[in-house]
Amino acid sequence: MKKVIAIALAGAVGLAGLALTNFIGDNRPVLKVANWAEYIDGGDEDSPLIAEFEEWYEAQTGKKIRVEYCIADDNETLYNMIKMGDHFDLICPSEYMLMKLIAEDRLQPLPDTFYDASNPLNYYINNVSPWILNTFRSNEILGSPWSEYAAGYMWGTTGFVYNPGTEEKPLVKAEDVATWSVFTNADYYKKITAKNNIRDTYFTGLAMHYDSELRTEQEKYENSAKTANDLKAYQTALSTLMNDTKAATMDSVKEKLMAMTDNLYGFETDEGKSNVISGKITVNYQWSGDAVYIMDEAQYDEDGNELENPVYLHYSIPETVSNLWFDGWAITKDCKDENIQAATMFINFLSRPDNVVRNMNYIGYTSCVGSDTVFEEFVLANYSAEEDDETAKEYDLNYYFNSAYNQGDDTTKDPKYIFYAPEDQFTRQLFAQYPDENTLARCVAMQYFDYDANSRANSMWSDITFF
Amino acid sequence: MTKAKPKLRFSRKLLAIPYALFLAIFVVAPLVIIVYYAFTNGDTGEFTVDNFVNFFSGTGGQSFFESSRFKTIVQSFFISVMSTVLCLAIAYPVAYIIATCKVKNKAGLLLLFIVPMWVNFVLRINALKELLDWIGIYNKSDEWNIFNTVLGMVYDFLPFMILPVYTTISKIDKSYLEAARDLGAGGASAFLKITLPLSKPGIMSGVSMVFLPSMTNYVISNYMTFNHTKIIGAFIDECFKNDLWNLGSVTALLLLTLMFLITWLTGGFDAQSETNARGTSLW
Repeated sequence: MKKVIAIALAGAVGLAGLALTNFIGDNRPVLKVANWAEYIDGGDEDSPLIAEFEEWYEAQTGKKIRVEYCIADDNETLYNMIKMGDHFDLICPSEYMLMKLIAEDRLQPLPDTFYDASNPLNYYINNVSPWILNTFRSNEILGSPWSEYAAGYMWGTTGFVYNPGTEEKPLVKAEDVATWSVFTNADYYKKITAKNNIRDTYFTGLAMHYDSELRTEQEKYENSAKTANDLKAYQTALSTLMNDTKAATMDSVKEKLMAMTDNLYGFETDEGKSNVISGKITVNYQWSGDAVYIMDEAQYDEDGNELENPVYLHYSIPETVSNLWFDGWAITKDCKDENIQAATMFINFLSRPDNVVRNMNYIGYTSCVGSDTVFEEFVLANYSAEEDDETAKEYDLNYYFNSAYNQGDDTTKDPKYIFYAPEDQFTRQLFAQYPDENTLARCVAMQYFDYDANSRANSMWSDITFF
Repeated sequence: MTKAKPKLRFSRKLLAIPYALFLAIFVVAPLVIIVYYAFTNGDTGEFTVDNFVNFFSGTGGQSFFESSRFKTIVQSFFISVMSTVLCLAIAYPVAYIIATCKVKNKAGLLLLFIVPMWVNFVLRINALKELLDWIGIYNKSDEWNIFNTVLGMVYDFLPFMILPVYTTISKIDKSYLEAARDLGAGGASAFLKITLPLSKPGIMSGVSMVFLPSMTNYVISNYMTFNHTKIIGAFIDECFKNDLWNLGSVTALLLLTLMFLITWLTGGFDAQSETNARGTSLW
């Protein structure tokens, strides 16, 4: 018996050695990509999309490439990896980390050829949603628009996944989760969770702190003609409020957050998903993509069939303000000139509409690409109502898919992007993936904290999280 | 034979090289880096002692002793002491019984206590968490959270206490006990005067192996309390996560100093206990 084991072990070692020599013998140039876990079709480094990209790249350019695909846990880990000297060609950080990396001069601008729409292989610029394009052009960091450094991958909002319960046993009222004060609402004592990180929680605190200011701004906007300029003014005002890190503000935010912690079940990163499905908590502050995952998980089994006891969870974006976030592809300063083409082609390959649909079906987040293929094969395929559904209502996604659409001008709308969706989808998966235009008007991005604000935020965080 | 001796010495020195390398790369170098970050400014990179001053000055108008930072240290210390005491209280009788019982297969008995260590500790902690949730004491109140943290630490670190204590007790020369009996000592006083003092090195080594990690193993406290109970390790982790390497390094350095002091005060560096514990401190 021992002999058998010994032989088996020796064989295993030999095989490992073979694999290793194979690996070393592979002399293709390497494109090193960092992304989040489970953030590409089929999983991580063994995603079929990566192998397909290598083939596609060779077919287009005649050159070989090997993608080394790395996983980073979160933005902070990715940042520490880069700071410690890990070299990546292409990374996919969130907007605030992009800003921090740009400010620290760790990224290089995307080449001009990337935005050349006349090249049919430039799938990104030819298919990106007009709304995303506009957002990436109008948001600036140190005087240059985001689009100069980053190409959008996935995006979303933050909001509440909640369990409305059943008719006999109602749990969460929709109007309660429409406001940020749900965090201090005694009806949800120990039934609600917040996010276990400084930024999301600080945003929560700011939203509670500036409640009346936010409502004033909203009223102003509601009473305006809602032109593109009105929207811009509204969002600038919101953005200023929601990026306030002055010491005095932070102190009052801390008070607000301290007052809410006792009501919370706790601060979580991942545990909240299973807890809201199991019913241990009824309100879970969550990122929209994970919200979709949770709602699917509570309703369907692995094969997509309805569960025996499905739970219908909903998603709500607070009525005053919410956080808008993006993950975008960016090329680092470490990327050598000969790799830039491969890096941009990787972004373009992932932006090819058929690949986008595959990615979205797997990941559950919303892609920044908004072409007709995505609209038909993803949005309509997943969310259009059955013909005999009498509750179905019109859902308008012109702002996201129609590049001819002008904000506030109904005549530029194309009826093709207005479709009938089941009523419940207005507060469920569809809404979480593609919020309506009006809701998105009140969603703003949050900047990175500078050194001073970061130190103060950290000590605020220690005070809040120490029970 | 005399010829072979110098050759043997030579190869012995060579044998130390892997460990010396390991020590240099994974112990000395990180320590140097920690010291570097503790004494530099995070923004400009200049030499400064501000990090220490900042650590000891309170936040938001509170003094250091009212700050959450100080409370976190006290709380970790309390959890650590409780876990160590409980571990010892459970481990000592077990180790004593195994070491002195008449069963032939002592290794098999001991194995019962080591086998749980073969299962990944995060899995075990998760299982314990589910169990507590089912009983209904998971994330109930701050008091229960402290209790659950201690429970998790004890659950996880118990084998680290049993093994060194068992090794020392089983190595005690039986003739001491026989002599004590001959001279009229009862079972209790023989235990108190012979077994207990002679097993001290094992206890010390067990204590240090439980006390130190339970100050910093925030995975356990986070899992067991839904991130409610904060220990000093969690604080350090947050500092590094949020790009405050300097504050994190200062905290780590202060913790290191505290550990050094504790080890020194409990006689961990004594030459005598070193010889007594030879072969047992590493079980």
